[in-house]
Amino acid sequence: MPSSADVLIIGAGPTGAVAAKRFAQAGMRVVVLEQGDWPDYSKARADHLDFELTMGCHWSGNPNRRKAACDYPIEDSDSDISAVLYNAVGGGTVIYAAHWQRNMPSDFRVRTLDGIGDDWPLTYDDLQPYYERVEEDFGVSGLGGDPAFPPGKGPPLPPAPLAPMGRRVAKAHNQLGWHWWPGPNAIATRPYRALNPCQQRATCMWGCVEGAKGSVDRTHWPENVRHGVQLVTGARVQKLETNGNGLVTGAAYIDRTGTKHFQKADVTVLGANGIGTPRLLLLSGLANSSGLVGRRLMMHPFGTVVGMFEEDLGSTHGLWGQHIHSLQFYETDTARGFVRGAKWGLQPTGGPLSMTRAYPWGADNGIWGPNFHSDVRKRLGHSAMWGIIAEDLPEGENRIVLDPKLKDSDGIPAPKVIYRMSDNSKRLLEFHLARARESLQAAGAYQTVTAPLIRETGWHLLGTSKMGTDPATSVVDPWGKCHDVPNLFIYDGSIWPTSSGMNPTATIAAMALWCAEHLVKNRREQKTPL
Amino acid sequence: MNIPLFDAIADLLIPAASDMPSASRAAVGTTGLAEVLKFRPELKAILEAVLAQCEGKSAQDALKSLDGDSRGILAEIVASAYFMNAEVRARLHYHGQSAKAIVPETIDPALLQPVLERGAIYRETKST
Repeated sequence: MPSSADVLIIGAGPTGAVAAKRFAQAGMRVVVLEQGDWPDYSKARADHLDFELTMGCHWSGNPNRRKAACDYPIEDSDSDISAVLYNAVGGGTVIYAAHWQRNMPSDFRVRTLDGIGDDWPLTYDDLQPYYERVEEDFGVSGLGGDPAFPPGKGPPLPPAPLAPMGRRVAKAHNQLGWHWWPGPNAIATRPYRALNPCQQRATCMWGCVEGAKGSVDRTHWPENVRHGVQLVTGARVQKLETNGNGLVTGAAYIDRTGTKHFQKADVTVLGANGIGTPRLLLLSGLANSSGLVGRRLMMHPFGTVVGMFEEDLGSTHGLWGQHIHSLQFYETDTARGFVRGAKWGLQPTGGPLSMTRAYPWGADNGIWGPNFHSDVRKRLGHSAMWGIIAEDLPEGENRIVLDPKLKDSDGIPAPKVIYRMSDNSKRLLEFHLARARESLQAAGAYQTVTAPLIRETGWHLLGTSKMGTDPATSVVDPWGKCHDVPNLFIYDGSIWPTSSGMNPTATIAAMALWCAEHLVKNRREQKTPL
Repeated sequence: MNIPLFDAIADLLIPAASDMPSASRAAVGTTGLAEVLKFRPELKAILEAVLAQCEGKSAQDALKSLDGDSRGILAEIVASAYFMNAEVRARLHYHGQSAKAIVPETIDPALLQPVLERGAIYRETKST
């Protein structure tokens, strides 16, 4: 490992993976510190008897439940939603559903169009080439020409099958005059680079045994390491250090044996997600002259509607993943009583044990007792689920702070999540759940079940280090550079001014490339401490 | 562990139906529970604590007396044991999350046509 790196990246999730690749291509010496290890796919049990029993253990996205050695606890008693993340090489992509959604053009112009929130300091047009490039690397499957997005290059792989559920709902939406389109997924539908084709086990979030999901531990990191990137696992960063000129000199970290290290670097990039990044900035006392570090947390309230059908849809299997998506009600219509919207993804429902659980059947799931068998049969293979990602707006009181008592296993203060759903979010979710019921009923569902808000669904951690042009009202500039610290950069979802209503990995990846490209091009002017 | 009580409660949660065995007939209290605890050993102490709350009560009273979390974990253990039973899986025609290769599918253009005919649904924005 070099004693001093050109670039130090903290976090080996999608942000770090995309940025490291670009920096390595430019010949820069890159060191990456990741507190987790490589994912252990020997613990992926999709093809074993105990899959449904054990899926929520090693592969749980809730660190408070998973309690791996590399995890830090999260205090969430003052939050309506529990944060979900994964500390490993690959980060959140190890457990994501791989719904690959670009943001829509309006997502970059929320203040201009809807008079609320903020505009991004870039547009969809600016980001479109970067979307196209990262989609090649992630092995995205889907169908170009979706009229929910501006024209352009489509995904590199053909779409997954619509499946019986998708065909039914597509026909219904055609009758309703509603949008639908084959679902874009970072899931390989044929052999592609390091990825094998999907086998439709519907287990994407709990250890993909096929190696079909475009998680960056497969799509990026092996290649990054081959190209000279130094990836250090089991490295928990304590603090960023600065010199007398206010420049970051590197990061102090603790390895798994408890030994302390210091990694020097010219430039430091944070890709530690919307909780880990503000936690580290607050621990380091950096980049917060605006007072916005940790604030404006957005987590995408998530609800589901399940429809039950007479037809056997084969919905124990499929992509988890989405077979189709709908953006019919994504754009603002103020007549609905709220602003902004949500994206819907149509998914299978899994095996028999999953038919008994609160997700997606609701907390008051009354399946037990005399009707148990008939209810299981009604659900198993005969149900399809709309998962609804609701856009929430940036609010200062929704935030990450350092908990005064809780600490991780190295004694470092843990983050606390303070998050309450706004009235706008509540009205938005209620409206979308009602429309999703109508969708499934039109598709022939004889019964629908609604789970209005599922607590452990805080997969999307956004907004806690806002991007903008004004140092008084933002933490970083449009290319992720901290206004206060000119050699400290943030590339992850923390920098989003607004959250969109989309699964965010596509935009997180495109933004990481956008930011990294800018740093590469301007590196001769970059201030460094060494 | 009070297995007879566990079985009795399990049968309230999963009774017999015409073509499906009850929980106890599917051996949830014996081989089923052993299988669950083999994969999830941490559940043993939790289950023992739940059953300790039920001691001296009828199965019905015990089930009613449990709080939501205790009842939830008990139900999860019972259902896990039940659905790992080979006979139960066969009767449900469920063979696990088995592999099902993707067959390339050409999407019927007639299905896509109405979506395309309605045109763009995104709002135009000014470029930079």
